[in-house]
Amino acid sequence: MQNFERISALVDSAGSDADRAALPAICDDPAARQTWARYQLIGDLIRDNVPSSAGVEFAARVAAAITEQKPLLASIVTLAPQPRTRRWSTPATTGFAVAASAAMLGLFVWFSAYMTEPKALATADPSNTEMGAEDRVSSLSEADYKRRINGYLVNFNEQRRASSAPGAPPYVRLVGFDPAGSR
Amino acid sequence: MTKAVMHGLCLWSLLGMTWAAQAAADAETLVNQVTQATKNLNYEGTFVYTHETNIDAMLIVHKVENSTEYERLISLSGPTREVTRDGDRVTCVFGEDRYLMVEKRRPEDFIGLALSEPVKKISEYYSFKLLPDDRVAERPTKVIRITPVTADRYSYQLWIDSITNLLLKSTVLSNTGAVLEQVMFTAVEIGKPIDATKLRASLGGDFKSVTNTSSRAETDHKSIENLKVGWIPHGFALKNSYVQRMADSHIPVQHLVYSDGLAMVSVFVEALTSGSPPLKGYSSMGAINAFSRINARHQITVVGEIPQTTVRKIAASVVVQ
Repeated sequence: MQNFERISALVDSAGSDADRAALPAICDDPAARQTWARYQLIGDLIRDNVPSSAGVEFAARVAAAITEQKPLLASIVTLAPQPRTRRWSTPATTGFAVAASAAMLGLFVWFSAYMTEPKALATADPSNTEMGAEDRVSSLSEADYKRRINGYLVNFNEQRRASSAPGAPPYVRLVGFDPAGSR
Repeated sequence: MTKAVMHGLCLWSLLGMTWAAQAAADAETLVNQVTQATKNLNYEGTFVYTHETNIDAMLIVHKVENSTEYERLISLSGPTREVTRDGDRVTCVFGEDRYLMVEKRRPEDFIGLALSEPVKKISEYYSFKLLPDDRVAERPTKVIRITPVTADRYSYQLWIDSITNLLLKSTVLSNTGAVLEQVMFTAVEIGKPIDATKLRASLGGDFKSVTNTSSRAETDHKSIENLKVGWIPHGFALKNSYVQRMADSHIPVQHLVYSDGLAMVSVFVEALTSGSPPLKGYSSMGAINAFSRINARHQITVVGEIPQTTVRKIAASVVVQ
């Protein structure tokens, strides 16, 4: 078992005796300590153990933790259909899915508490799959494409903002826009 | 069945209808209050934005002074991006491309949009339901589910601060219940004075800059003649139509804005020139979908917070005859 799997299990209070025996080695390894801190931070966020005035420094730490876990998140999305109770009740038998990844899975599950179909969380609009591959073709370069789409997005968001319709802050989509993932 | 039982059933039914109507009215009132709170309150906080398989953390600072809105939104994960707003001037900084875009809007561009539709009218196309109270960013919230009557638009679920009516969490759902995007504050301070330094852009350095601060006289081009939008979902009405210039282009663009009072669709039409390669196909950014096509040497792009199929159907109906 690799260190991150052990840390994942230990942070989730689901570590075995073998995991606990590895604690001294984990403590001696700076990289493992950082991983522990990252998993702990994500766990705190999910469990609402976040001070109300956490501020920018905290946000930056969250951002860093999220960024480092992005590959993990991609895997977790495929795990989302699993029963939501798994995150809290399963012992450390599923490798990294138990704690840190399960913590992030918990993030998804938690987010979906009010959803009618939790397994569908973070999936694209099903109607989008009706688009043919030929629809995605554009002769523009990545930079030109992004510039053009951003121009439309800014103007769309300006109008949306003026309309006062409730929902996501207007420019969130612009800041979070990933052109590589949208084409 | 006895008369007493019949009376009881009638009374029960009447009470049920009254309760449902009251719940819908309460929900509608709350939505109206959210729009005011979002514009009129000072707030500062961090939130997570989830869409498709991505989670991004962002920081937002919003201040109102002398009826002018100032705002700063910055990404805390992924590519460094920042949007600052100073009244009617919006500056977008894309750190990864060293690219900066400035858009300055004119008040007349928003005629017809200055106030949102009364929710009473929106309720023709959506149903409103109050759900049990919840908690977001350590603050108590009211929760509202807004469901469309037809499948050509999205559902929304809103978590509204019980004290200030600021929106603390929102989800957009497809008509199958799939969450398309979600915004949730993890920490927020509301109603406190905000120092001007917190609204200054932090991304500095050498950027390629494109600016659109053109006056009405510079962009008062004639509308594209014989432009026809053949189909728009029931309940959407034309709210605005004007010709503008994009920040990085000198080609006038006809911009038609449609809304049902909640969702919005923009139809952009511009003449193709030899120097402007066509944009084709679709893009998806969370709950925002865009579809571009060419018709009669015109670039047609539809952008909206509506399903991909609806965006595409609208785009397909746009013709320049």
